[in-house]
Amino acid sequence: MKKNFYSPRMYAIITVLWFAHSALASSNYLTPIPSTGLMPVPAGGDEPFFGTYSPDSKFYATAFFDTSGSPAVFSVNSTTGALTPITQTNPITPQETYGAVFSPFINGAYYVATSNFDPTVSVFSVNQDTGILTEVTGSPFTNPGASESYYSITYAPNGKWLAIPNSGGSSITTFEINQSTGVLFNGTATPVTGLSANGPGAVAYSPDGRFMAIASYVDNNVLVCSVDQTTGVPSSTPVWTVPSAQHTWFIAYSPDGKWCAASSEEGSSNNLYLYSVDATSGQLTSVTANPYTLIGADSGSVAFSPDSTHLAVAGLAYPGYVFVFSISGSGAAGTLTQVAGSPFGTVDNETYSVSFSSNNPCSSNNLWLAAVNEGSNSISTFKVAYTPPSSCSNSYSNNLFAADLQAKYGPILAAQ
Amino acid sequence: MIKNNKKYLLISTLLMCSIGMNSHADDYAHSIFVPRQLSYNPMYEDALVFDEYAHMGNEKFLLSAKPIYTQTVGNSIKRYFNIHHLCSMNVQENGTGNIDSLWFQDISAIGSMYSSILAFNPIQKTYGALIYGALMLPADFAITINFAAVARNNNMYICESDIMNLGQVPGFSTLTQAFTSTGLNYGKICGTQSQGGVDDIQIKFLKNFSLCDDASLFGDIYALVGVPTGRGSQAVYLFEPIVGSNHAQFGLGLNAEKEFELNMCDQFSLYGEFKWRYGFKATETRSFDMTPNGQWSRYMLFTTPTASANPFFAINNLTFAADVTPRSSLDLLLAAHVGLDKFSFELGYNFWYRQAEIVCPCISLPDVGIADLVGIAQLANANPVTVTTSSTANISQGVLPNSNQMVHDATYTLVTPANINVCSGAQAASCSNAVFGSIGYTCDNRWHPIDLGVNASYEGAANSNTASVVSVWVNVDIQF
Repeated sequence: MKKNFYSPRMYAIITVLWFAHSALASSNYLTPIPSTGLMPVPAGGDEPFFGTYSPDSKFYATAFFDTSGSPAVFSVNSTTGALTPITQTNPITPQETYGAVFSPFINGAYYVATSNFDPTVSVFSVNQDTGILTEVTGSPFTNPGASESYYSITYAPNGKWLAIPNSGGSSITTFEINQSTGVLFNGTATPVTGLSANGPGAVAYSPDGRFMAIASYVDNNVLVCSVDQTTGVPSSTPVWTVPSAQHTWFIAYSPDGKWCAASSEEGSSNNLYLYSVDATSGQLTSVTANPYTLIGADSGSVAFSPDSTHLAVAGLAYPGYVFVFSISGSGAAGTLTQVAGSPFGTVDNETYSVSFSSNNPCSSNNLWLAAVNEGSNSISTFKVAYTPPSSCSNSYSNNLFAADLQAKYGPILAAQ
Repeated sequence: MIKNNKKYLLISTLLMCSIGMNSHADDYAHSIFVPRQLSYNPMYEDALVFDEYAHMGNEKFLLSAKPIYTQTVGNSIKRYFNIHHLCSMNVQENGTGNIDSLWFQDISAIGSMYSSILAFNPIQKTYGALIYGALMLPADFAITINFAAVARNNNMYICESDIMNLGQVPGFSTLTQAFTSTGLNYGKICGTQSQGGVDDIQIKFLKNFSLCDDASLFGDIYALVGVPTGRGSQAVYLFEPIVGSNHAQFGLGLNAEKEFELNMCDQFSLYGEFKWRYGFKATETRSFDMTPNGQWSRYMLFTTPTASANPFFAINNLTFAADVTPRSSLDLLLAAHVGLDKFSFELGYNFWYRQAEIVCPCISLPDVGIADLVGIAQLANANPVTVTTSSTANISQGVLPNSNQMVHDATYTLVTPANINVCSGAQAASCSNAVFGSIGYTCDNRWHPIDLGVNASYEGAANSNTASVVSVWVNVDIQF
């Protein structure tokens, strides 16, 4: 693993280059946030991999592979999107971590969970005013199924479960979550048929929590398991399996549950797949236009915009990029089209992950995107050109709700 | 004479406690929570300090700084905002629950029905410092000033559990998500809301005197004014933090203390305070339910006559500037104080009653009606009905044909000012009984007595319109 060789002068140079590059590659969809430029992670932090925003978009957290400290938490300026590091004051069990993920609101509170190298899971409650973390009772929690570290960690959208792929094995670990304290319990490692050793790369719960998609790193496919609605445990036998790229490592569902995307860490071509999702059966259908190739870049993580109309993909190769695609069509006819200006430069190699500041399409007119740059220990932030769907507004003409009412209840009422 | 006074005091206390316990304990879901203000609370003002005030020798000035932390606790606040003050509310898209999710535009996929359990655990935390100053004037007159610089954090801690079949409209997957929507201009629920500032300033003008030429008796009568420091409720959030008010106050009251010598160094005393205040009218922003549509009807959907198939949140048109009059508040405080050499101990009781507000909204309604969801649903049918309104609908009713289906009006029926339930935007009568305990220590300083103290209290809600509160605070008092 590389050490942090970037000096303040180097940061200045990178920042200038980044601005210049951004100016040349200006686009409507992503605009670099000038006031932050490249936000370095706090001293001592090295090789950040994954980061996410809190459910209220007030904070951003990332974690490091090579550090003896805590996850890094930043406050987010609600007007500009600028990040400001928050100095943590509470004692925290030191961990080498791969990723930090915010939970959704759980009984009004939210938490940060980190996947640790040793392998355990740390969970921290978050002071919603200050961003100060407090490790919850019992943290770090031992992963009952892991033989070595894992890269991904995810909360179920309902806040009831947490899942980790056991990258050294062929199982998925799930925990239930105490809804009052955020404490994890009932850790269960479920071997999944069809997952080879070192198979699982990442997992994602569907928005309704009924299914779990598993990116299989060595089997070159995506598995879909049904989910026990009490425990969050995936079925040991997948209900669907679809082909994907070699070394598929990252996966995500769109917030509306209609799409799923998987990307590959390695390979200079065929490294992005889009699937349409059947909400009832959970079936993934590979769109006809698959696979997509991100020129010159291995793929990092994938993230859908809150209105499910765009897909952002982190580019791992040098120079680092964030690719943004618009999504059109439906079902197998779904297609991805790069938006003007994409890819957007992060002027860094190894941009591992991207995340939008919200998955609620109506929560705010301000939307940000953050990209974690492992190579330079920094975070690139962008303002997203985003208009909430018309369904969010107080008075709207394209009334999705009214349309859904007619589609669902019209026939029922007509039969009366 | 003293015996008679005590008897009347006791009877009055019992009467007021009785009033408190039997105060109007309706089960109406509130749209506003007006917290009890710190600077008028005699418990925070008097604990340990009143005895020092009553025994000021040659000193002319008493200054007390009191770092404080308070937090709401208990069940009354958990149910405060809920329909019928239920512990939790049943959300069903099929019209069989307390809330039909369609009013929040939560509509699940064809062949399924959205359902969940919705509960709140609202918590208000307040921290900061109370500042008290007393200035002795000639002829036994005095002035005291009491105010608090505090920060207040409110969080509804919304808990929507057992969610089945997510809503399909972007931004309205769940009720929790709907409460954060940018389309909701008022009555939002979203994480922690914070407010900092100075609580209203209480200024007392006192006349001290010894009762019946007995040096062991001390008393005062006073008039008070309350200086407003806040801007009143804004109603953007259902549980909004409010620091200070925009209501001027006037009040009258009296204090009395009787001291008993235990020995040369130790004393035992009883003291009390009675305070009446009146809050004057000022303009705030409040949200209102409709009649006959009932509780939470502010969270239903409206349409306009020209766009009767385009529903939007009704609360945006049911929130008005309103003339709010807090009216009267009563406080009775009784405490026992023991001084043992340099230490002092207090145990006390505080009864508090606040009248229901009078609220007169400045109603400015555009042409709107309650959305006719049944009519809208049939628009695409072969024989659509004319979309009108559902003027009698309530928040539990849905579209599915069953006994709780909303009624489709024959013609478009506008919401009028007569439909505004004025009471629904008012803080109802509040009542609480509190106990407190204090420990004080007097530092050796013959020129400027310095007293230190720690205090804790529990304030129990006596009706469902009041929050229970626990508080801890410390005193740092100096006389000079």
